[in-house]
Amino acid sequence: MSSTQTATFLRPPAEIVYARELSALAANDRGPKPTGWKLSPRSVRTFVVGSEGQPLQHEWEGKRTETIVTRKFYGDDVLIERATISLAGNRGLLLVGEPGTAKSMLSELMAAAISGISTNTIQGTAGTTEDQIKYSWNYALLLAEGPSQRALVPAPLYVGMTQGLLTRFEEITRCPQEIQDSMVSILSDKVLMVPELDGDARVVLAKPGFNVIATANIRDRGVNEMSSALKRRFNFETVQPIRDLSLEVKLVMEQTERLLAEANAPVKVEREVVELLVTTFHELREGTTAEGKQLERPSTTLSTAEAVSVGYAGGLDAYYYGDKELSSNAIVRHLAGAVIKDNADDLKRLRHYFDTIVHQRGQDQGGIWQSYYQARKWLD
Amino acid sequence: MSDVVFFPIRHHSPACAWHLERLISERKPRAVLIEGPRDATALLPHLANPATKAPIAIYTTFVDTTNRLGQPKPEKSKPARFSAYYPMADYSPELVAIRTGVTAGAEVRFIDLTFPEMVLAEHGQQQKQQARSLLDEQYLRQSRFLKALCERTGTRDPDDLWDHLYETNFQQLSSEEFIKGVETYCALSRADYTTEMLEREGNIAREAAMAAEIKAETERGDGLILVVTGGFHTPALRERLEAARSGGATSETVPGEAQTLLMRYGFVQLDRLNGYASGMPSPGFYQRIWEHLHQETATDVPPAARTAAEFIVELGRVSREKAPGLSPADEIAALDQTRRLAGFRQHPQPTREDLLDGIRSSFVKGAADAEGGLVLDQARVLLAGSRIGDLPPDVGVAPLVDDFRRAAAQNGLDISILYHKEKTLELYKSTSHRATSHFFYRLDYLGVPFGRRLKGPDFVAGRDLERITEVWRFCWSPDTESKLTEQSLYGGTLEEATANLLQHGLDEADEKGQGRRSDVTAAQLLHACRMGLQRLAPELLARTAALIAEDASFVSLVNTAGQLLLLHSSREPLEAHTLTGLTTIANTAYQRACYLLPNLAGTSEQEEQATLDALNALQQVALSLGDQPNSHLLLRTGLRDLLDNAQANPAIRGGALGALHTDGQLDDEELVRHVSGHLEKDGPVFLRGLLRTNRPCLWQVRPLLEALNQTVCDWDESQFVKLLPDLRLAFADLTAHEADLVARTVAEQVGARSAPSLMITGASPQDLLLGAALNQRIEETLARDGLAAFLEEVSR
Repeated sequence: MSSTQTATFLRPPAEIVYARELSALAANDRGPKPTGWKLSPRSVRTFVVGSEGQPLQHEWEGKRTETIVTRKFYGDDVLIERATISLAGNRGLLLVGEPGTAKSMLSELMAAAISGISTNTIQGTAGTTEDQIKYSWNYALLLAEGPSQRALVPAPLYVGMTQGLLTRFEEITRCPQEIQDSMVSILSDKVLMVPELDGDARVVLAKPGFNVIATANIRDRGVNEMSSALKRRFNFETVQPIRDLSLEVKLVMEQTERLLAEANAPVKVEREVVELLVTTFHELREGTTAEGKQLERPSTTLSTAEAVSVGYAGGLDAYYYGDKELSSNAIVRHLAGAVIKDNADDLKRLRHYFDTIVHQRGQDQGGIWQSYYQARKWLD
Repeated sequence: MSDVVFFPIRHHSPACAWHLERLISERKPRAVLIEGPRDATALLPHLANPATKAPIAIYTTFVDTTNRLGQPKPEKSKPARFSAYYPMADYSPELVAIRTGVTAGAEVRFIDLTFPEMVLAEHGQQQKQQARSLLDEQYLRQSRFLKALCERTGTRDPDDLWDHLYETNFQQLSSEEFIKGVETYCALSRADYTTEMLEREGNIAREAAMAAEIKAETERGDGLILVVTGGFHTPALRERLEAARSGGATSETVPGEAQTLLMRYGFVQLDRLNGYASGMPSPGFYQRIWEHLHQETATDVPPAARTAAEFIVELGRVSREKAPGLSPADEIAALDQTRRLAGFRQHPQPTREDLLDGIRSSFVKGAADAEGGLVLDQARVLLAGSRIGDLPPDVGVAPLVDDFRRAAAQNGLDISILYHKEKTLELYKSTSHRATSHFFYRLDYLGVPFGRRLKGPDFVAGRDLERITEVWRFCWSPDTESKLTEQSLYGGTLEEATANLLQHGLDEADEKGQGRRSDVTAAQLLHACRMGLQRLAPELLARTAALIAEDASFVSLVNTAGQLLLLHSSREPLEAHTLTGLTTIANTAYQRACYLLPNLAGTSEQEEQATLDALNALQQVALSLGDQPNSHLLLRTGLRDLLDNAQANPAIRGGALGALHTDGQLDDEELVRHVSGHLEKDGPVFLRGLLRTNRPCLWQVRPLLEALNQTVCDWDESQFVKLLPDLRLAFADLTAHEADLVARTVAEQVGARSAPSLMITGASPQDLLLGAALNQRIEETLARDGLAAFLEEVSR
């Protein structure tokens, strides 16, 4: 697939978005590769954390060219090393952490880098059934021919095992525990039984390259416990929210610009406006301001992803109704929607933040903080 | 001319130690010169002694008695004090150089400035009083170059970076290659330093001295000279050696100003994660590697790989003991992960962080900050190790330790056996017993683990004063002398050290702003007398007297008066006969406390208890001070003021009322009137204050109990239930006997023949409150349904 196809999907998967980078890495990959992997662990790491500005030489669309691998994950680089090595071993990898800490993005990137495909995914919900994980049947064929290989409809786990691919399991803790537990013996034995079929087809042995990368919220509402048996079969990695403000500003800025570009809504995004947004999120999340004042934290998780969505919504607002420049005004108009999820008191907390912290900064520093405070009217 | 080989090291690096050991054994240098205080050269025979078991430390102190630092306001009694450690483990390159050097027949010497010279070269900018490590490698943590290198290599911090670069493949390198690598690393991290910074931190002076020593050694003849210093200094030494003049500058120290000695050290202190700055974390981990490096039996497994496997299994066991869950399968997974991470990072054998990452990946089942924290804490403790060093008996000890041994012998205390013994002291009869008591208290004050008082009067806390004997349980342990060595910073004898520490404590209280409280100083006065430091008493008393005049705390003033009177009455066991003016000064404190009485009106709820106790104590003080009509008047007027102040805290007003009644200033009738009036308005809070200062009135003044009973009976059920917790608190101070007495009196008053048993077992206060509320609801319901008569029948 070429990069020109990017625009034809609402949100293309990582292997399409970063096809050029993946090709550059593959062309320069000299490290040892675990069987079934498209890239070596070292290149997987580089794919996620970037090549630090180093251009890689490779052939792309028939021409010699140079590509710089961009940083896609901001956080603990050592975590990426541990995660990659875990996936090369015989245990699955479970990414845990608060909502919006880029767990799913990380899982997608790793699947794209390791197996070249990130869409072999089980989307966990309270209604996920075992056949959505393993396999189900084409009932017309099943009735006509009886159980046969032709009548079997493979689900992501079956696909992953037969083709030696990384299988993603999103939001595993949203599935009921008995459904989660259907993974237990598969993860340890790497064997899937299909009792309906005869002969060799009864036993599906996993090909090298197969493993499971799952994501989970442990503290969110509406999640199920995980059995110890399943926990034992996973290595856990905790993805932390970004602690560094300037890093978060950079990330939100990049993501917002990318989303707006994809939506064909070219809007000028100023760094200081994004800084307002991220500072607000950061301070409310941490419960203290830069000056050390204590704040009451909203009950909603104010993740980086949430900040991006406010920036994106503000950008669209500016494009369609404003003067095509992301303003503090547009930010505030979409802020309330991000903060109020299921607790009306959170709006009070946000208003209080504006009345005390933003108001004070507007008086002390003037400029953008002042216009930010003037936009407070949208919170009433 | 002789050859000089510079060996740059990082302190506490097993890789450096291994190469150093090999180099010395192979090339047999004529002399080995080591970075370390020159005056510690005298300790080398002990360091090389096989009976010395690491970890140990050279401990060195400097007391600037002659104000050589030129401090602006020198006070004879308060010289600046400095101390430092030079810790060494088996795998410390310095210790390895000493041991191997001595075995190879080389002349081994320390060549750095002595500690006092170092302090003077730094112009005393280092923190005083607090001991520091001479092996602190701050430059490694601050270097911008190293920070960039960490980012480039994907390592966490300079410790991780060092391990990544030097601790995994050192066995495959020749010593020349290894030295070159280390020197480059250290030289680049020095690049951030300006000449001023080097000068300020004393590096220039130290390097000049070391270069001069090396130069002098080269002039002594042919042969190889090995110079072992921190890599930070190596490039500068190489450069300076050309220009250096032989013969180091020596400066004389005033006797008693400095000391340098050996002490036992522990891995727990060595582990930097525990708060000491000394080079490398996890000494237990590196010790194990060092031991495997020297194992006779040849194996293919590299030492760090074996160490990692052992620690993972041990951690599995430790964590299973605390909480079951981790299985051998997890241990296998952790080891596998560790090895593959090491492979990924191109380490021939795993580093400490590889091991910790393996543990993080495979042992943690949940969020990193919850479940992960527990596992990693256990891992850190395990990797730090708990080893404590040992020194042969012939090692010289600090004068303070010597004084301790002498004093112990003089007092007839056996410190040669390691189990607990007891000693009973007749404080009033025997002077020598009092001297022994001083000895125990001095050690206690210095924080030295030795004796514990089992029985006896506590003159500082004012408890058990009726006792005339003291019983001490004591036991000598190696820790006793380690702590004494540490405290030798304060002086060479127990007497001197305690006196200086006491002075230091007062200075510190001054700095913290507590210096204004007279009772802090008065308590130190009692401490001093208890430790036989009567020579300090006049000064401490004068200081207390001066503080009383400006002390604004009622509680503190009452305490001070109490402590001074206690000292006066116990002047025999405390040997304070010669101290004059105790009662006069106590009287001043008392008068000032009386003067502050009206101010107590605004006492906050948190201070209530302390203030009421002080009110009680104030009456005692008044009694002890004896018949001075004037002063009694002062107390009474103050209390009256307080009682009549309608805005005052009700508990304090209650307390004032109690005090006045005890003093006979109020008749029973007035007492009853006040109590009934206040119960209406303030509820049981007032009663609580009253009973705190005057419990006996409850059973001595019959009308009071009657009135109280009447008021309580007048409350309706809901009011009673609401006030019950406060009421309980008010009566909480009554002893069992008193409670019984009160209950019987009340029973008589209401016409019951006997008091019902007050003990209710098997129910919590909450249950009872709930029961009372329930009872009331039932009664109401029955009354509403016209069934009240039924209840009366039942209760009859």
